[in-house]
Amino acid sequence: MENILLQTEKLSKTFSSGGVLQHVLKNIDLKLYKGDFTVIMGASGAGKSTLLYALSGMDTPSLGTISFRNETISGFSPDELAVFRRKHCGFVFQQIYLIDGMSVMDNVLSAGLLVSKNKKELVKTAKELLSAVGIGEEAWNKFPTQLSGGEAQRVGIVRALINSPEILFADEPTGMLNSKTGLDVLDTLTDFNAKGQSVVMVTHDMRSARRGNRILYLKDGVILGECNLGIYKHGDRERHEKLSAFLTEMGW
Amino acid sequence: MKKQIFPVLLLVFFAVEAAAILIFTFHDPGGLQDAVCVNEAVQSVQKDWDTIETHKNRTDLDYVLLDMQENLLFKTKAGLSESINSAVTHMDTILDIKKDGAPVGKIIIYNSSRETFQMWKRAVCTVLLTVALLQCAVCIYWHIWLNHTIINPFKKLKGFAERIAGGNLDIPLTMDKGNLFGAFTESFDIMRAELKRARLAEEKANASKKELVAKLSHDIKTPVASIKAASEVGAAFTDNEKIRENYTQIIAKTDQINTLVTNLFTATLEELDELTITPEDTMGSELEYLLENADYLHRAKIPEIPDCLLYMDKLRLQQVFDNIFSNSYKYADTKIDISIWNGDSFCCVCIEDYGGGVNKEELPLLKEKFKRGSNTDHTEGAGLGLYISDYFMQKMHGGLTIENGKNGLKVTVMIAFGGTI
Amino acid sequence: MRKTFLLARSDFRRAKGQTLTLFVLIFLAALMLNLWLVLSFDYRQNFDRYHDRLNAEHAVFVIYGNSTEMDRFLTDTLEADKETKEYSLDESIFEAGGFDYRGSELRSAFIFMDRQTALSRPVGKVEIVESGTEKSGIYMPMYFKTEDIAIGKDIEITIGSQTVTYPICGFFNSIMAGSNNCGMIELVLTKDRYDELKEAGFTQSTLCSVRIENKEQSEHYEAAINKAVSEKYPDACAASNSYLLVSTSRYISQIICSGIMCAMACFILLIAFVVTASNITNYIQDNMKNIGALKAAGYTSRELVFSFLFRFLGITVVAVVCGIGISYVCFPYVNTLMVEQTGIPYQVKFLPHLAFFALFVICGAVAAAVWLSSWKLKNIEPVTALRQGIHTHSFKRNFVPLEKTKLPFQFALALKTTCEGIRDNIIVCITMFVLSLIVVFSGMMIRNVIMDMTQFIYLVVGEMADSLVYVSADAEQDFLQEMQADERVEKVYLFHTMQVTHGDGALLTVNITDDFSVINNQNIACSGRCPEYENEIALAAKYAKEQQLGIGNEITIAANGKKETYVITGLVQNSNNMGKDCLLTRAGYERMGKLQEMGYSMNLKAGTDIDAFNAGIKSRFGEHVIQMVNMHAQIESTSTVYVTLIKMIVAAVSILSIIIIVFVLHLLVKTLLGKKKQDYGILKALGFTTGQLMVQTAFSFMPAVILSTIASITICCFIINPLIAWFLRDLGIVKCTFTVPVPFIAAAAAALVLFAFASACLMSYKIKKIVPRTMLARE
Repeated sequence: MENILLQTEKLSKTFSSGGVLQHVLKNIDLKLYKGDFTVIMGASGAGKSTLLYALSGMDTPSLGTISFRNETISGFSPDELAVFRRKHCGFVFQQIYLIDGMSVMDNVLSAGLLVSKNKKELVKTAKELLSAVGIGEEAWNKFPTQLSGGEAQRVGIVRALINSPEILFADEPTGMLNSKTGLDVLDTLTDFNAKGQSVVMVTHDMRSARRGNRILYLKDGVILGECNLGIYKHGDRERHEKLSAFLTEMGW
Repeated sequence: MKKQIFPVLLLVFFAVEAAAILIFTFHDPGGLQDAVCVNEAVQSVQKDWDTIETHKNRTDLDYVLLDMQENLLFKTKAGLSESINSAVTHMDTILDIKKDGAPVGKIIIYNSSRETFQMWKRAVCTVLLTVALLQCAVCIYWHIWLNHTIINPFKKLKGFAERIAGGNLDIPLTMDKGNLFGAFTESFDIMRAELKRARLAEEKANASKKELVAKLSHDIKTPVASIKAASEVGAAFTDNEKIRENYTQIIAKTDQINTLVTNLFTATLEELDELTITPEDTMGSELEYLLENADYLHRAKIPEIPDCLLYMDKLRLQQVFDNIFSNSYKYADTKIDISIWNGDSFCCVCIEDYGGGVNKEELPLLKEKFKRGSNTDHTEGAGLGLYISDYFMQKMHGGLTIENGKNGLKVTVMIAFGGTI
Repeated sequence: MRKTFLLARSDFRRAKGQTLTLFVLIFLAALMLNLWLVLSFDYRQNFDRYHDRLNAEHAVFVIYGNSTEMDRFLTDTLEADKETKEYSLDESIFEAGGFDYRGSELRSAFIFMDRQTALSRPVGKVEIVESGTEKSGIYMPMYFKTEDIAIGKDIEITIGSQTVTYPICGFFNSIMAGSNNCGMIELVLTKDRYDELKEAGFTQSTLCSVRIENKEQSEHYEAAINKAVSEKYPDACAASNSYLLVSTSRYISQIICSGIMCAMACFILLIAFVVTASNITNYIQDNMKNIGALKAAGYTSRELVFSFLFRFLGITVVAVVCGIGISYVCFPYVNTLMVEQTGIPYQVKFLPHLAFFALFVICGAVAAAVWLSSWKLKNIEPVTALRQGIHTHSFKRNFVPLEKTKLPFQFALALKTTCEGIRDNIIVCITMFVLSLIVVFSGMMIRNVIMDMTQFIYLVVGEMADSLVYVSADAEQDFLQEMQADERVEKVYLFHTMQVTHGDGALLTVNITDDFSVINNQNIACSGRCPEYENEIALAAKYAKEQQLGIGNEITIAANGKKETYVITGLVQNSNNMGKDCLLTRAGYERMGKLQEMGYSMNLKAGTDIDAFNAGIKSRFGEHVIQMVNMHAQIESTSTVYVTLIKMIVAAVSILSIIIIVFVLHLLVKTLLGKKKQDYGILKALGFTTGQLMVQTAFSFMPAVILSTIASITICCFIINPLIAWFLRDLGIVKCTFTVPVPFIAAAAAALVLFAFASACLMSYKIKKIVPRTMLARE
């Protein structure tokens, strides 16, 4: 299928600590499709983030293969992975992870200039994106510590999107935010998804999960089930119940 | 940092002033005559005495030459003392010019110390004035700065306190760079933030309590409880003594069945209960090691193991392989082929020898207890191996199939993938 | 105390790398410091010990003639002086001569003595340290022992106008006449050889060696006796020497070496100081939270400071002990170098007081660094500390905004890092300053001592030409005419050396020339100017200082029994005569008496064979030529030792500088990586490769490195001459005029910068270990 962006085969991830092996991901076979808003849910410790980082080339799997389009990325060297990430992936972190020593604009550009050589064009894109997520011009030269959590996370999203990645990975993007600012961030993600951006998000929060059109439930390193919700519409009651039912079934 | 700059600057300026005054008081502004220069002047004049008209001053000094009759012979510039008397008045240096040991004239070297002193005085004055002006400027700037950093923030604080009092907790207290009240305003703003947080936390606590109650009520609905409840309800509402007895019996019998099942389970496992099986997720690559161990005669070539995580008990799986390989060694004694592939839900390890296999009718019996193939009469064995192997594999959620392959007996061990349960 | 110890131990475990770096720096500092201390405090004393052991003289005189009458006169004179303690008068032969030493002819005044006499003198005896089986021959001073001058070989010695060949019987040590720096060289002959020499008609002299009460007065004593003797026998005084002069001149290389060691020790100590201070400040910043917890748990600031002290002093003590230990291992090598120059054996032994002093100084410095940088601790409130010391409001400036900058992307990111770490930049600057100083110093030494010695010789000797010919007064005109006509001669000028006395008999060497503007060394006067008129004089700076004379003062000197007064117009500094020099014009000198012979210096065309040229003059003028000197050959024979010494120093110093730069960068990179671990993790997640981050890190040090190198090299080029003069002030040097080889230094500086970049790149290889997931794992 042409629509498949990422595909994994028997993906496993094992950590060892003090000689004891811990299998965090177990034989995961998964396909991610273009344009989807995929949500990975599960209790904490289920291996959600590990899956996300393995998928995004941030980490290498212990076993199994990951292919991006038709390219196997699981055998890449760290530097090859870095190049892969900068070209094809965008990241939004739970802890936001903006670089404190750089202004908002520089944070965005530091990712952008890695790929693009056309600075003029890039600055234009950056300004458009920042305005689109509601970060006004007065904040562009502020430092991350001067921003509220929500603002910072939206800057984080802009930084992730500056290179127009094929997939945007978001690891509990609202985890550190209060509900109000969390909603803003979710809206931003939903908006970009509506414009065709593929998103993969990890969360253990139902309100966030509702935004996805494909929900995967992860438990003890295994995908226990999946549920297709269709395109998100605000205030869709039925959607909410379908999700609740799915989660109840999964033992949420 | 900035607040210290002003006093430091003032001190520095004061030090400069003090130094200027001290230097002025104690410094001797070079009233001494440079003896080497004077000597050079005298010597050069003596050398040129006979052609004094063409004499050129080679020193920095100014001087006048007189002959013994006090006639002016030479002067380096106008305005110098041109007679012995005026030279004495002006405290100039007067020296003899000698020719062959006898004095032939006089040189009056101009005393420039007065000019030097004047210049010195002027320099000190200029320095003092400039520094004093700078000091003034600093004082004025300090005043402005104090206004900016203390008075204005204070006014701002006043407004902030009023807002808090009015219950508006959303507007933070902004800070300016170099604010003197740093810690003070900071605590104020922390107080505001804390108040706000407390308010939010209260709202959140109320919401989560409701959620918990809902969850608990859902969990209590367990099937056993429903059966029991139903039976009890039945028993309570029936008038028929016999039916009630039946209900009571149902309740009693459920318990009994429970015990019976448990008993039965224990009984079946009696002979195997030492063979505990604890499968866990294991790296697929371990298979290689297990197979290598089992095939101690190296009859087989171990193929590449596909990347995957398997659900197995390493110890038991080793026993299974040991059994299969030793059977093959015993009955077939040929080379062995191994192939491994990932099926839909199992990883299959297929082990086939070249011994021709067993009779078709005996195939289903091989896995049973105490059953052995018909061609095994001359070899020892209890006929338990494949039975136990099969049991092990089932406990590992896998399986074991035995069939006749192209060349001989073909045993397929199916190992479950990790994470499928 | 136990608490403190526990804290220190846990700190130590956490920062092994930094600890190691600090250890190495302190180790090096201790090594250099102890070498310096031993060199400057014990090495000189060794001379005194040796001097006393041989019961050597404090003043030695050689007086022509050997008669009972003269003996009686000398005895009376010596007895009359209440400074005299003991003395011995012996017969000897005193004659100027030369022999081949290290490939060129060494010319000096020789004192020949009979073996028995030389060994049995009560005062000033020699000590035979090596002897062979030869029954008849010569014993040489140990100083001259080389491959060619060895037991069993023959040595050819020119004595006056004769040349004799002796087999070498052995070697001896003589304190006052045992090296060519003493002004006279004692040579011991076996009885038969000595008698042979006596019969050959060499005039006999009296060698008079005196021990005096107060050795500090040796120079005055020497002057007084000389005066007394020359009053009675006007032409009898042949040569004399004093304890002070010899002890200084035999230790020139030791002074140079200890000066350099001192400088190096100070610089390394400075770097160690800064590094310690920064280490602690960093530590406080990184561990704000822990410190807060400890403070909250009831530790007082004082206890925390003690834990730092404990930790750093512990390392320091161990490092210093190791350093001192190793310095004693190294010392024999330094010693071999030194002995070549001093000619006096030195027994290396442990010197506890110096070791304790070194320990005390370094521990003091480290303790001060700890104290200074940890005073901050007192002001940290537990609460602030627990909140990681983050002041809620940041007023950071955005250095190098990416949007506007025209710089390449990587470079702009590096520059941001640079601007954030002011303290690192300061350390870099100080280090680069020290290293620049080393580079400039090495460059200058290579240029002025190893490649072209002219400036070095000017400094030591004062003036240098190709050939020096002494002609008698009656042949002067002919000689000059001939020389001016000779096309091999580029320049001929009078440069004659005489002796004059000042005050109660201090001998000054006077250099006489017609016009000081034509001599080769135009920097001979270190302040003021050279004399121009007949009543002017330029005086040695050291002597002027001792006599409290200055430019513009008058000085009265005497020669040929006539006193004249001169105005001091300038100061000179050549160290050849231990700071007892002066310059006069010929007219000036002739106020006291006519010159009987004149030394003419000549610059010859490049490629002229100086010896052949000299021989030509000799054959042309015959008896009128009194002496000819091939100055190049003479200088070369004495300078080999210096060249070797300087080569060793340059090598040692270069290795040291490489070690320093590696360790300081290591420390800085390590701290930076620790501080920026999270940032690097984020950047890696965004898709930066290890290589990019490594280059970025290395680049971030470069602005400070490059700027400070350029600035320091420029400054050092200007201050190096005064600095060297300051270190050599004991030799009477006031001002140095070494050529600074700018292209060479620039190239070396560029190499230094490149090396710094390369090593910073290598050291930041650890970035490879930062994987994005390590930072993300702490959910």
